[in-house]
Amino acid sequence: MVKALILEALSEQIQDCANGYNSLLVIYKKTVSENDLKLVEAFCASRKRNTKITHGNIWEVPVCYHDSFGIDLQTLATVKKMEVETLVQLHSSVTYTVFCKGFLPGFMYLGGLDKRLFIDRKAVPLLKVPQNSVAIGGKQTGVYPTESPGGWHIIGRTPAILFDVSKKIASKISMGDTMKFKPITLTDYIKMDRVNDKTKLITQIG
Amino acid sequence: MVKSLAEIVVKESGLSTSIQDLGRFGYLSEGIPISGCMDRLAAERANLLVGNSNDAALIEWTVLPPKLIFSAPTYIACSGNTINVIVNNFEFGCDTSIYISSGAEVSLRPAQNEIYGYISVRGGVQTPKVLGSRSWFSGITDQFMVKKGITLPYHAITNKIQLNSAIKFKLRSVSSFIKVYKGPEFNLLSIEQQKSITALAFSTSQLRDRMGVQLVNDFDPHTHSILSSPLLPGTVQWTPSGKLIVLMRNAQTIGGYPRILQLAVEAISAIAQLPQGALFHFKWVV
Repeated sequence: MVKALILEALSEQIQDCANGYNSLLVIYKKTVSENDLKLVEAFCASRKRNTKITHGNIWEVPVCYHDSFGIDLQTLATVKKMEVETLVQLHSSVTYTVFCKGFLPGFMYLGGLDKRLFIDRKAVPLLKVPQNSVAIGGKQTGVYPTESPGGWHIIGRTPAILFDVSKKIASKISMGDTMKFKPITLTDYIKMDRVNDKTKLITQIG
Repeated sequence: MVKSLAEIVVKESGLSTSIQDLGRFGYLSEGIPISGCMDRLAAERANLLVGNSNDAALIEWTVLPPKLIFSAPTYIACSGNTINVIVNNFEFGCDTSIYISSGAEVSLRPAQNEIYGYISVRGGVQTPKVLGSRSWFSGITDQFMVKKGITLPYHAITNKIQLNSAIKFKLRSVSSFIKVYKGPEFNLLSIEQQKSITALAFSTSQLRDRMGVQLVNDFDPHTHSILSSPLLPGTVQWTPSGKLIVLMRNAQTIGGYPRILQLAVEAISAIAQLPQGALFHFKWVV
Protein backbone atom coordinates (compact mmCIF):
# COMPACT_ATOMS: atom_id res chain seq x y z
CA MET A 1 0.00 0.00 0.00
CA VAL A 2 1.04 3.57 -0.68
CA LYS A 3 0.89 4.38 3.02
CA ALA A 4 3.47 1.74 3.96
CA LEU A 5 5.70 2.91 1.12
CA ILE A 6 5.51 6.56 2.15
CA LEU A 7 6.23 5.67 5.77
CA GLU A 8 9.23 3.66 4.69
CA ALA A 9 10.65 6.21 2.29
CA LEU A 10 10.11 9.26 4.49
CA SER A 11 10.23 7.75 7.98
CA GLU A 12 12.62 10.40 9.29
CA GLN A 13 10.35 13.30 8.42
CA ILE A 14 6.99 11.76 9.23
CA GLN A 15 5.34 11.46 12.60
CA ASP A 16 2.20 9.58 11.60
CA CYS A 17 0.26 8.55 8.55
CA ALA A 18 -3.39 7.50 8.45
CA ASN A 19 -5.98 6.78 5.82
CA GLY A 20 -9.71 6.97 5.27
CA TYR A 21 -11.50 5.13 2.46
CA ASN A 22 -9.94 7.11 -0.35
CA SER A 23 -7.70 9.64 1.33
CA LEU A 24 -4.40 9.79 3.12
CA LEU A 25 -3.21 12.00 5.98
CA VAL A 26 0.50 12.58 6.48
CA ILE A 27 1.70 14.32 9.65
CA TYR A 28 5.21 15.79 9.43
CA LYS A 29 7.48 16.39 12.39
CA LYS A 30 8.43 19.83 11.13
CA THR A 31 6.94 22.50 8.94
CA VAL A 32 7.18 21.47 5.31
CA SER A 33 7.52 23.46 2.13
CA GLU A 34 5.40 23.16 -1.01
CA ASN A 35 8.37 21.43 -2.53
CA ASP A 36 8.36 18.64 0.07
CA LEU A 37 4.71 18.02 -0.70
CA LYS A 38 5.38 17.89 -4.42
CA LEU A 39 7.99 15.22 -3.73
CA VAL A 40 5.41 13.04 -1.99
CA GLU A 41 2.95 13.65 -4.81
CA ALA A 42 5.53 12.63 -7.37
CA PHE A 43 6.40 9.61 -5.26
CA CYS A 44 2.75 8.51 -5.12
CA ALA A 45 2.30 9.10 -8.83
CA SER A 46 5.34 6.99 -9.63
CA ARG A 47 3.84 4.09 -7.68
CA LYS A 48 0.58 4.12 -9.58
CA ARG A 49 2.13 2.26 -12.46
CA ASN A 50 2.90 -0.87 -10.49
CA THR A 51 -0.58 -1.64 -9.31
CA LYS A 52 0.29 -4.85 -7.61
CA ILE A 53 -2.67 -6.02 -5.60
CA THR A 54 -1.52 -7.09 -2.20
CA HIS A 55 -3.48 -9.71 -0.36
CA GLY A 56 -3.70 -9.27 3.38
CA ASN A 57 -4.34 -11.99 5.90
CA ILE A 58 -7.75 -13.61 6.22
CA TRP A 59 -9.23 -13.87 9.71
CA GLU A 60 -12.19 -15.57 11.33
CA VAL A 61 -14.03 -14.00 14.26
CA PRO A 62 -16.64 -16.01 16.23
CA VAL A 63 -20.02 -14.30 16.72
CA CYS A 64 -22.98 -15.39 18.79
CA TYR A 65 -26.12 -14.19 16.99
CA HIS A 66 -28.39 -14.78 19.99
CA ASP A 67 -31.33 -12.55 20.99
CA SER A 68 -29.72 -11.77 24.32
CA PHE A 69 -26.75 -10.13 22.53
CA GLY A 70 -28.30 -9.13 19.21
CA ILE A 71 -30.93 -6.86 20.69
CA ASP A 72 -31.96 -5.48 17.28
CA LEU A 73 -31.89 -8.84 15.48
CA GLN A 74 -35.66 -9.49 15.58
CA THR A 75 -36.62 -5.92 14.66
CA LEU A 76 -34.14 -5.86 11.80
CA ALA A 77 -35.41 -9.20 10.48
CA THR A 78 -38.98 -7.90 10.62
CA VAL A 79 -38.05 -4.67 8.80
CA LYS A 80 -36.18 -6.68 6.17
CA LYS A 81 -39.05 -9.20 5.92
CA MET A 82 -36.74 -12.17 6.37
CA GLU A 83 -36.16 -14.94 8.88
CA VAL A 84 -33.51 -14.28 11.55
CA GLU A 85 -31.66 -17.35 10.22
CA THR A 86 -31.48 -15.82 6.75
CA LEU A 87 -30.17 -12.55 8.17
CA VAL A 88 -27.45 -14.39 10.11
CA GLN A 89 -26.60 -16.44 7.04
CA LEU A 90 -26.29 -13.30 4.87
CA HIS A 91 -24.08 -11.60 7.46
CA SER A 92 -21.79 -14.54 8.14
CA SER A 93 -21.30 -15.87 4.60
CA VAL A 94 -19.50 -12.79 3.27
CA THR A 95 -15.76 -12.07 3.47
CA TYR A 96 -15.36 -8.45 4.56
CA THR A 97 -12.47 -6.08 3.81
CA VAL A 98 -11.02 -3.80 6.50
CA PHE A 99 -11.07 -0.41 4.75
CA CYS A 100 -9.86 1.68 7.66
CA LYS A 101 -9.95 2.04 11.40
CA GLY A 102 -11.27 4.90 13.48
CA PHE A 103 -14.25 6.25 15.42
CA LEU A 104 -13.08 4.28 18.48
CA PRO A 105 -9.64 2.77 19.13
CA GLY A 106 -9.60 -0.46 17.14
CA PHE A 107 -12.96 0.06 15.40
CA MET A 108 -12.79 -1.40 11.89
CA TYR A 109 -14.85 -0.09 9.00
CA LEU A 110 -15.78 -3.29 7.16
CA GLY A 111 -16.87 -3.23 3.54
CA GLY A 112 -18.67 -5.96 1.63
CA LEU A 113 -22.01 -6.13 3.44
CA ASP A 114 -24.79 -7.84 1.45
CA LYS A 115 -27.10 -5.20 -0.09
CA ARG A 116 -30.12 -6.88 1.45
CA LEU A 117 -28.79 -5.90 4.90
CA PHE A 118 -28.25 -2.18 4.21
CA ILE A 119 -30.13 -0.13 6.81
CA ASP A 120 -30.08 3.51 7.91
CA ARG A 121 -28.55 4.25 11.28
CA LYS A 122 -30.98 4.50 14.21
CA ALA A 123 -32.62 7.91 14.57
CA VAL A 124 -31.65 7.94 18.25
CA PRO A 125 -28.28 6.35 19.05
CA LEU A 126 -28.01 3.93 21.95
CA LEU A 127 -26.04 5.54 24.80
CA LYS A 128 -24.24 2.37 25.79
CA VAL A 129 -23.58 -0.23 23.14
CA PRO A 130 -21.99 -3.17 25.02
CA GLN A 131 -18.35 -4.00 24.30
CA ASN A 132 -17.84 -6.54 21.47
CA SER A 133 -21.27 -5.95 19.92
CA VAL A 134 -21.48 -6.78 16.23
CA ALA A 135 -23.62 -4.27 14.38
CA ILE A 136 -24.84 -3.01 11.01
CA GLY A 137 -25.00 0.68 10.05
CA GLY A 138 -25.66 2.04 6.57
CA LYS A 139 -23.73 -0.11 4.10
CA GLN A 140 -21.23 -1.26 6.68
CA THR A 141 -20.80 -3.69 9.52
CA GLY A 142 -18.39 -3.66 12.43
CA VAL A 143 -17.59 -4.63 16.00
CA TYR A 144 -17.58 -2.15 18.92
CA PRO A 145 -14.19 -2.83 20.61
CA THR A 146 -15.20 -0.91 23.75
CA GLU A 147 -18.52 0.15 25.25
CA SER A 148 -19.60 3.37 23.60
CA PRO A 149 -22.60 5.29 22.31
CA GLY A 150 -23.60 4.09 18.87
CA GLY A 151 -26.33 4.29 16.25
CA TRP A 152 -25.81 0.97 14.50
CA HIS A 153 -28.21 -2.00 14.73
CA ILE A 154 -26.83 -4.64 17.07
CA ILE A 155 -27.13 -8.22 15.80
CA GLY A 156 -24.72 -10.24 17.94
CA ARG A 157 -21.61 -10.32 20.09
CA THR A 158 -18.15 -11.82 19.78
CA PRO A 159 -16.33 -13.31 22.76
CA ALA A 160 -13.03 -12.36 21.07
CA ILE A 161 -11.01 -9.32 22.16
CA LEU A 162 -10.17 -7.34 19.03
CA PHE A 163 -8.14 -4.59 20.65
CA ASP A 164 -5.76 -4.94 23.59
CA VAL A 165 -3.27 -2.16 24.32
CA SER A 166 -1.22 -4.42 26.61
CA LYS A 167 -0.19 -6.43 23.52
CA LYS A 168 2.72 -5.42 21.36
CA ILE A 169 0.35 -5.30 18.42
CA ALA A 170 -2.93 -3.96 19.82
CA SER A 171 -5.08 -5.46 17.10
CA LYS A 172 -4.23 -8.51 15.00
CA ILE A 173 -6.39 -7.51 12.08
CA SER A 174 -4.81 -4.81 9.93
CA MET A 175 -6.19 -2.49 7.34
CA GLY A 176 -6.39 -4.28 4.01
CA ASP A 177 -6.94 -7.66 5.65
CA THR A 178 -10.15 -9.58 5.13
CA MET A 179 -12.31 -11.32 7.68
CA LYS A 180 -15.35 -13.56 8.14
CA PHE A 181 -17.79 -13.90 11.02
CA LYS A 182 -18.33 -17.48 12.20
CA PRO A 183 -21.71 -18.12 13.91
CA ILE A 184 -21.41 -19.83 17.30
CA THR A 185 -24.00 -21.04 19.79
CA LEU A 186 -24.62 -19.49 23.19
CA THR A 187 -22.92 -22.52 24.79
CA ASP A 188 -19.83 -21.94 22.61
CA TYR A 189 -19.87 -18.27 23.59
CA ILE A 190 -19.92 -19.06 27.31
CA LYS A 191 -17.07 -21.54 26.85
CA MET A 192 -14.97 -19.08 24.81
CA ASP A 193 -15.70 -16.27 27.25
CA ARG A 194 -13.80 -18.23 29.92
CA VAL A 195 -10.59 -18.38 27.87
CA ASN A 196 -7.67 -16.46 29.40
CA ASP A 197 -6.36 -14.71 26.32
CA LYS A 198 -9.40 -13.81 24.29
CA THR A 199 -7.36 -12.23 21.52
CA LYS A 200 -6.55 -15.82 20.53
CA LEU A 201 -10.19 -16.44 19.63
CA ILE A 202 -9.46 -14.59 16.40
CA THR A 203 -8.07 -17.22 14.06
CA GLN A 204 -6.11 -16.75 10.89
CA ILE A 205 -7.60 -18.81 8.06
CA GLY A 206 -5.49 -17.56 5.18
CA MET B 1 19.34 2.08 42.56
CA VAL B 2 15.60 2.47 42.26
CA LYS B 3 14.45 5.79 43.58
CA SER B 4 11.16 5.49 45.39
CA LEU B 5 8.56 7.79 43.98
CA ALA B 6 7.03 10.72 45.76
CA GLU B 7 3.32 11.30 45.31
CA ILE B 8 0.80 14.03 44.81
CA VAL B 9 -2.33 13.32 46.83
CA VAL B 10 -5.48 14.70 45.23
CA LYS B 11 -7.48 16.44 47.96
CA GLU B 12 -9.99 17.94 45.53
CA SER B 13 -10.20 16.78 41.94
CA GLY B 14 -11.25 20.00 40.20
CA LEU B 15 -13.19 19.65 36.94
CA SER B 16 -12.24 17.21 34.17
CA THR B 17 -8.69 17.07 35.53
CA SER B 18 -6.35 14.67 33.73
CA ILE B 19 -2.70 13.92 33.00
CA GLN B 20 -1.55 15.01 29.54
CA ASP B 21 1.64 15.34 27.56
CA LEU B 22 2.12 16.30 23.91
CA GLY B 23 0.11 13.27 22.80
CA ARG B 24 0.23 9.78 21.38
CA PHE B 25 1.66 9.64 17.90
CA GLY B 26 1.80 6.79 15.41
CA TYR B 27 -1.53 5.12 16.20
CA LEU B 28 -4.03 7.10 14.12
CA SER B 29 -4.41 4.10 11.81
CA GLU B 30 -5.59 2.08 14.79
CA GLY B 31 -8.22 4.70 15.50
CA ILE B 32 -6.41 6.04 18.56
CA PRO B 33 -6.77 9.83 18.97
CA ILE B 34 -3.61 11.89 19.52
CA SER B 35 -4.87 13.40 22.83
CA GLY B 36 -2.44 15.67 24.68
CA CYS B 37 -2.70 19.15 26.20
CA MET B 38 -5.59 21.30 24.95
CA ASP B 39 -3.49 24.49 25.21
CA ARG B 40 -0.09 23.25 24.18
CA LEU B 41 1.54 26.68 24.49
CA ALA B 42 0.54 27.09 28.15
CA ALA B 43 1.55 23.51 28.97
CA GLU B 44 4.97 23.92 27.36
CA ARG B 45 5.49 27.15 29.30
CA ALA B 46 4.73 25.40 32.62
CA ASN B 47 7.13 22.59 31.75
CA LEU B 48 9.98 24.88 30.70
CA LEU B 49 9.68 26.87 33.95
CA VAL B 50 10.59 23.82 36.03
CA GLY B 51 13.33 22.74 33.65
CA ASN B 52 11.38 19.93 31.97
CA SER B 53 11.43 19.05 28.30
CA ASN B 54 8.24 20.19 26.59
CA ASP B 55 6.88 16.64 26.37
CA ALA B 56 6.86 15.97 30.14
CA ALA B 57 3.48 14.89 31.50
CA LEU B 58 1.61 17.44 33.61
CA ILE B 59 -1.76 18.07 35.22
CA GLU B 60 -4.48 19.68 33.09
CA TRP B 61 -7.64 21.02 34.72
CA THR B 62 -10.76 22.70 33.34
CA VAL B 63 -12.40 25.85 34.83
CA LEU B 64 -12.22 24.50 38.40
CA PRO B 65 -8.66 23.76 39.69
CA PRO B 66 -7.74 20.77 41.87
CA LYS B 67 -6.29 20.95 45.39
CA LEU B 68 -3.12 18.92 45.83
CA ILE B 69 -0.71 17.79 48.56
CA PHE B 70 2.91 17.04 47.63
CA SER B 71 4.64 14.32 49.69
CA ALA B 72 8.23 15.43 48.97
CA PRO B 73 10.16 18.53 47.83
CA THR B 74 9.96 19.63 44.22
CA TYR B 75 9.36 22.64 41.99
CA ILE B 76 6.06 23.34 40.28
CA ALA B 77 4.77 25.96 37.84
CA CYS B 78 1.21 26.86 36.94
CA SER B 79 0.03 28.35 33.66
CA GLY B 80 -3.14 28.90 31.66
CA ASN B 81 -6.32 29.80 33.49
CA THR B 82 -4.61 30.95 36.72
CA ILE B 83 -4.23 34.20 38.64
CA ASN B 84 -2.60 32.99 41.84
CA VAL B 85 -1.09 29.83 43.23
CA ILE B 86 -1.54 29.31 46.95
CA VAL B 87 1.08 27.15 48.67
CA ASN B 88 0.44 26.68 52.42
CA ASN B 89 -1.36 30.05 52.53
CA PHE B 90 1.41 31.92 50.68
CA GLU B 91 0.42 33.41 47.33
CA PHE B 92 2.54 33.15 44.21
CA GLY B 93 1.93 34.27 40.65
CA CYS B 94 1.36 32.01 37.67
CA ASP B 95 4.08 31.41 35.07
CA THR B 96 6.80 31.28 37.69
CA SER B 97 8.67 28.38 39.28
CA ILE B 98 7.64 27.70 42.89
CA TYR B 99 9.55 25.63 45.48
CA ILE B 100 7.32 23.07 47.18
CA SER B 101 8.35 21.64 50.53
CA SER B 102 7.43 18.24 51.85
CA GLY B 103 3.72 18.03 52.69
CA ALA B 104 2.82 21.37 51.09
CA GLU B 105 -0.77 21.98 50.07
CA VAL B 106 -1.31 23.66 46.70
CA SER B 107 -4.49 25.33 45.53
CA LEU B 108 -5.12 27.80 42.72
CA ARG B 109 -7.26 30.82 42.02
CA PRO B 110 -8.62 30.53 38.49
CA ALA B 111 -8.66 33.56 36.19
CA GLN B 112 -12.04 32.72 34.64
CA ASN B 113 -11.30 34.32 31.31
CA GLU B 114 -9.78 31.09 30.07
CA ILE B 115 -10.72 27.40 30.32
CA TYR B 116 -7.67 25.17 30.78
CA GLY B 117 -4.96 25.39 33.43
CA TYR B 118 -1.72 23.46 33.90
CA ILE B 119 0.41 22.39 36.87
CA SER B 120 3.85 21.08 35.97
CA VAL B 121 6.12 19.28 38.41
CA ARG B 122 9.89 18.99 38.03
CA GLY B 123 10.73 15.77 36.15
CA GLY B 124 7.11 15.33 35.05
CA VAL B 125 4.24 13.27 36.44
CA GLN B 126 5.29 9.60 36.33
CA THR B 127 1.98 7.86 35.59
CA PRO B 128 2.43 4.85 33.25
CA LYS B 129 3.25 5.35 29.58
CA VAL B 130 0.85 3.54 27.26
CA LEU B 131 1.76 3.34 23.56
CA GLY B 132 4.49 5.94 23.98
CA SER B 133 2.49 8.59 25.84
CA ARG B 134 1.22 9.40 29.33
CA SER B 135 -1.84 11.28 28.03
CA TRP B 136 -4.95 9.90 29.67
CA PHE B 137 -7.63 8.63 27.30
CA SER B 138 -10.58 6.38 28.07
CA GLY B 139 -10.01 2.87 26.71
CA ILE B 140 -6.25 3.34 26.38
CA THR B 141 -5.01 4.32 29.83
CA ASP B 142 -6.44 2.75 33.00
CA GLN B 143 -7.44 6.16 34.33
CA PHE B 144 -8.95 8.97 32.32
CA MET B 145 -10.01 11.50 34.93
CA VAL B 146 -8.41 12.56 38.23
CA LYS B 147 -10.60 11.55 41.18
CA LYS B 148 -10.49 12.76 44.77
CA GLY B 149 -8.13 10.69 46.90
CA ILE B 150 -5.96 9.22 44.13
CA THR B 151 -2.21 9.70 44.06
CA LEU B 152 0.01 10.78 41.18
CA PRO B 153 3.67 9.70 41.25
CA TYR B 154 6.66 12.01 40.63
CA HIS B 155 10.39 12.09 41.38
CA ALA B 156 11.25 14.25 44.39
CA ILE B 157 14.29 16.50 44.02
CA THR B 158 17.16 15.17 46.07
CA ASN B 159 19.71 17.97 46.26
CA LYS B 160 18.49 21.47 46.59
CA ILE B 161 18.59 22.91 43.12
CA GLN B 162 17.76 26.55 42.63
CA LEU B 163 15.10 27.47 40.15
CA ASN B 164 14.06 31.06 39.86
CA SER B 165 12.45 31.29 36.50
CA ALA B 166 9.50 33.34 35.49
CA ILE B 167 8.00 34.28 32.16
CA LYS B 168 6.29 37.53 31.38
CA PHE B 169 4.37 37.57 28.17
CA LYS B 170 1.79 39.70 26.53
CA LEU B 171 -1.68 38.42 27.34
CA ARG B 172 -3.32 36.81 24.39
CA SER B 173 -5.57 39.54 23.12
CA VAL B 174 -8.92 37.82 23.63
CA SER B 175 -8.97 36.57 20.37
CA SER B 176 -10.28 38.37 17.55
CA PHE B 177 -8.77 36.05 14.97
CA ILE B 178 -8.37 32.31 14.62
CA LYS B 179 -5.83 31.49 11.91
CA VAL B 180 -6.81 28.79 9.45
CA TYR B 181 -5.76 26.99 6.29
CA LYS B 182 -8.18 25.71 3.66
CA GLY B 183 -9.36 22.19 4.48
CA PRO B 184 -9.41 19.29 1.98
CA GLU B 185 -13.13 19.84 1.18
CA PHE B 186 -13.00 23.66 1.14
CA ASN B 187 -14.05 23.59 -2.49
CA LEU B 188 -17.44 22.15 -1.57
CA LEU B 189 -18.24 25.68 -0.38
CA SER B 190 -19.77 27.97 -3.01
CA ILE B 191 -17.84 31.13 -3.92
CA GLU B 192 -20.16 33.18 -1.68
CA GLN B 193 -19.72 30.72 1.18
CA GLN B 194 -15.94 30.81 0.75
CA LYS B 195 -16.13 34.57 1.25
CA SER B 196 -18.56 34.52 4.14
CA ILE B 197 -16.58 31.97 6.16
CA THR B 198 -14.02 34.66 6.97
CA ALA B 199 -16.50 37.55 6.96
CA LEU B 200 -18.87 36.13 9.59
CA ALA B 201 -18.22 36.35 13.33
CA PHE B 202 -18.40 33.09 15.27
CA SER B 203 -18.15 32.21 18.94
CA THR B 204 -17.70 29.04 20.96
CA SER B 205 -20.80 27.37 22.38
CA GLN B 206 -21.20 25.53 25.68
CA LEU B 207 -20.95 22.27 23.71
CA ARG B 208 -17.24 21.79 24.14
CA ASP B 209 -14.91 19.20 25.58
CA ARG B 210 -11.59 17.56 24.80
CA MET B 211 -13.10 16.08 21.61
CA GLY B 212 -14.37 19.25 20.00
CA VAL B 213 -15.86 22.72 20.22
CA GLN B 214 -19.15 23.48 18.52
CA LEU B 215 -19.46 27.04 17.22
CA VAL B 216 -22.38 29.41 17.57
CA ASN B 217 -23.79 30.99 14.46
CA ASP B 218 -24.76 28.21 12.17
CA PHE B 219 -23.33 28.20 8.70
CA ASP B 220 -25.46 27.15 5.69
CA PRO B 221 -26.94 23.63 5.76
CA HIS B 222 -25.82 21.27 3.00
CA THR B 223 -26.27 17.79 1.56
CA HIS B 224 -22.66 16.94 0.68
CA SER B 225 -21.32 13.73 2.09
CA ILE B 226 -17.79 12.42 1.79
CA LEU B 227 -16.28 9.00 2.30
CA SER B 228 -14.93 8.74 5.85
CA SER B 229 -11.56 10.52 5.89
CA PRO B 230 -8.80 11.20 8.44
CA LEU B 231 -9.24 14.03 10.94
CA LEU B 232 -6.80 16.04 13.05
CA PRO B 233 -7.00 18.32 16.07
CA GLY B 234 -7.93 21.67 14.56
CA THR B 235 -9.99 20.30 11.67
CA VAL B 236 -13.26 22.23 11.18
CA GLN B 237 -16.15 19.95 10.21
CA TRP B 238 -19.26 21.25 8.44
CA THR B 239 -22.29 19.17 9.46
CA PRO B 240 -25.35 18.80 7.18
CA SER B 241 -27.43 21.00 9.51
CA GLY B 242 -24.82 23.76 9.05
CA LYS B 243 -23.10 23.49 12.39
CA LEU B 244 -19.34 24.03 12.49
CA ILE B 245 -17.33 21.83 14.85
CA VAL B 246 -13.67 22.49 15.61
CA LEU B 247 -12.13 19.14 16.49
CA MET B 248 -9.83 19.14 19.49
CA ARG B 249 -7.15 16.83 20.93
CA ASN B 250 -9.38 13.80 21.65
CA ALA B 251 -11.18 13.98 18.32
CA GLN B 252 -12.10 10.72 16.65
CA THR B 253 -9.59 9.85 13.95
CA ILE B 254 -11.99 9.48 11.02
CA GLY B 255 -15.15 11.28 10.00
CA GLY B 256 -17.62 11.72 7.16
CA TYR B 257 -18.40 15.45 7.34
CA PRO B 258 -16.65 17.84 4.93
CA ARG B 259 -13.39 19.20 6.40
CA ILE B 260 -13.60 22.81 5.29
CA LEU B 261 -10.87 24.43 7.41
CA GLN B 262 -7.77 23.45 9.38
CA LEU B 263 -6.64 25.60 12.31
CA ALA B 264 -2.99 26.66 12.54
CA VAL B 265 -1.10 25.05 15.43
CA GLU B 266 -1.25 28.08 17.74
CA ALA B 267 -4.91 28.66 16.86
CA ILE B 268 -5.83 25.28 18.38
CA SER B 269 -4.45 26.45 21.73
CA ALA B 270 -6.21 29.81 21.33
CA ILE B 271 -9.66 28.36 20.62
CA ALA B 272 -9.25 25.87 23.49
CA GLN B 273 -9.04 28.84 25.86
CA LEU B 274 -11.67 31.02 24.20
CA PRO B 275 -14.48 31.70 26.67
CA GLN B 276 -18.04 30.93 25.67
CA GLY B 277 -19.59 33.72 23.66
CA ALA B 278 -16.39 35.59 22.76
CA LEU B 279 -16.60 36.60 19.12
CA PHE B 280 -13.87 35.78 16.61
CA HIS B 281 -13.26 35.69 12.88
CA PHE B 282 -11.42 33.04 10.89
CA LYS B 283 -8.40 34.51 9.14
CA TRP B 284 -6.24 32.91 6.45
CA VAL B 285 -2.65 32.08 7.26
CA VAL B 286 -0.72 34.07 4.72
